[in-house]
Amino acid sequence: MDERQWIYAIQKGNKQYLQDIVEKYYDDIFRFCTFQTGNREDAYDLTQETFLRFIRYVEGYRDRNLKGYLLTIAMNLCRNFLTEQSRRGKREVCFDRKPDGENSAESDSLWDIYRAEDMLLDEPVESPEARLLERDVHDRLMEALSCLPQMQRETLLFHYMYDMKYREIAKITGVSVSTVKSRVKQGTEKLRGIMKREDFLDE
Amino acid sequence: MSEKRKRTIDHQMVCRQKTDKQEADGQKNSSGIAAGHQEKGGAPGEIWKEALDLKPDPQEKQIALLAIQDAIEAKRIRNIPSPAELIQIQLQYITPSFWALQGGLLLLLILLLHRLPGQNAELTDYLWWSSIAAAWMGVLSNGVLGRHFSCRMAELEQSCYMNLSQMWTIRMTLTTGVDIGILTVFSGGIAARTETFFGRIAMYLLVPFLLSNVCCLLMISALRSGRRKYTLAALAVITALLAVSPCVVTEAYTTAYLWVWFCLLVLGAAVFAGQIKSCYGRMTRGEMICWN
Repeated sequence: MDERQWIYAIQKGNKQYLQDIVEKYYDDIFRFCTFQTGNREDAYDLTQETFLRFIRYVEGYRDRNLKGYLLTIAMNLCRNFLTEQSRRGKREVCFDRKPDGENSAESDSLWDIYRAEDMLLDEPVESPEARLLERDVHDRLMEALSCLPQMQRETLLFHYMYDMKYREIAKITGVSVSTVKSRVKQGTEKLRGIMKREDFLDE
Repeated sequence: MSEKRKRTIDHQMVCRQKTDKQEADGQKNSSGIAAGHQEKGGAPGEIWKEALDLKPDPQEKQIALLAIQDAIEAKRIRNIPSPAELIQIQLQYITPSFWALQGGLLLLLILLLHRLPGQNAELTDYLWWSSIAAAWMGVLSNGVLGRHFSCRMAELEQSCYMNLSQMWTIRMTLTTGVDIGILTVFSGGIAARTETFFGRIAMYLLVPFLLSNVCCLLMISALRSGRRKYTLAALAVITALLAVSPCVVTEAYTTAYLWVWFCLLVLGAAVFAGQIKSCYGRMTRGEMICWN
């Protein structure tokens, strides 16, 4: 059974396929929310909310790209979340390090709090070094992404992580294809610069 | 300093110590970030590959899935038909007699196109019959629309939680769309046989069609009669007479009177649009239902 048949069956009252959809796309949506917000705890909430919204309005679903539709909901929720955060004073923090390597936002940064809380939740560290290293990769990518403006970040995520075409991204984000291209180009250059500066990449 | 904040800073220090240790051990470059990166369109592709490994914590995921499961169980699926389904439903409710009469008119027009050229017919000869057909098409379409407001149907439809405006729009789009399609094709046929500009012929046929629509809508909204069939028949005669009246005037279809036709078309379209707006307004406010 393909997705269209799932949706058709759901709209005819067969709810069991909703669970299949959730299980199929949970990880994808979680990954997007994590890199978009820079925090796993918030990502769990936003992922859950994404699926709850989808379930609430599933009768009206007429799209052809289910994953794109779910990512659109997630994107809007993340946007609202980040706007709310900045309204509360927890603006998006870029953990840009100073040229000498010292972290400029060392003590007050939201990001460090998030990271520390993540570590706290995972304590005691029962995993071996590999887990720590893997987490470090993700955290550092999140860190680098957090330095980008929200729109550029989501465009890069759609483009590189979900292999979406410019046209698809334009449809989801509601901007023109040329704007998407520009965001990808500028975001890529900026991200590359951050990563080089942060010693993510070998020169 | 709050306890949470203190605890956070302690953990920041733990994190930093771990990172320092990691760097000291030279493990940083073996983390996969710097090693062997490939670039996709100038971006560090290896990092994006690493990013795809990010998985949610199984326990957290399970908790979320359970919460979603609860929402699924509580969900009541309402059937919202798609536009295609809505059209299909409305097509079922358009009577076969409407399609039969429309087919009859189409057949008449096709016969005209085939027969008249052999009799050295002129533009007026074509327009005589085709204007009558156009006027009758308008009457037929409005007959279908008027069924919503006869025998207290509007009240019944609203009582059954049907969207009267939506149903009316779909039926009007279907019937008028069919009519305009037929008239357009026929205009092309006449234009080809009389070597006249297509737009001009289309305008000559659209005017009687629009005017008959205006008359019929006026009838639907102004007259309250149980004998709709007779009223429609009377309207068919009146609109047919009105439609052929320009054929009596010798120069009515000449270039000199094109502006008059254009004015009639614009005026007819404006009045028709106004009538439709008024009908929707009365449907929304409920007047039409009570009146029905």
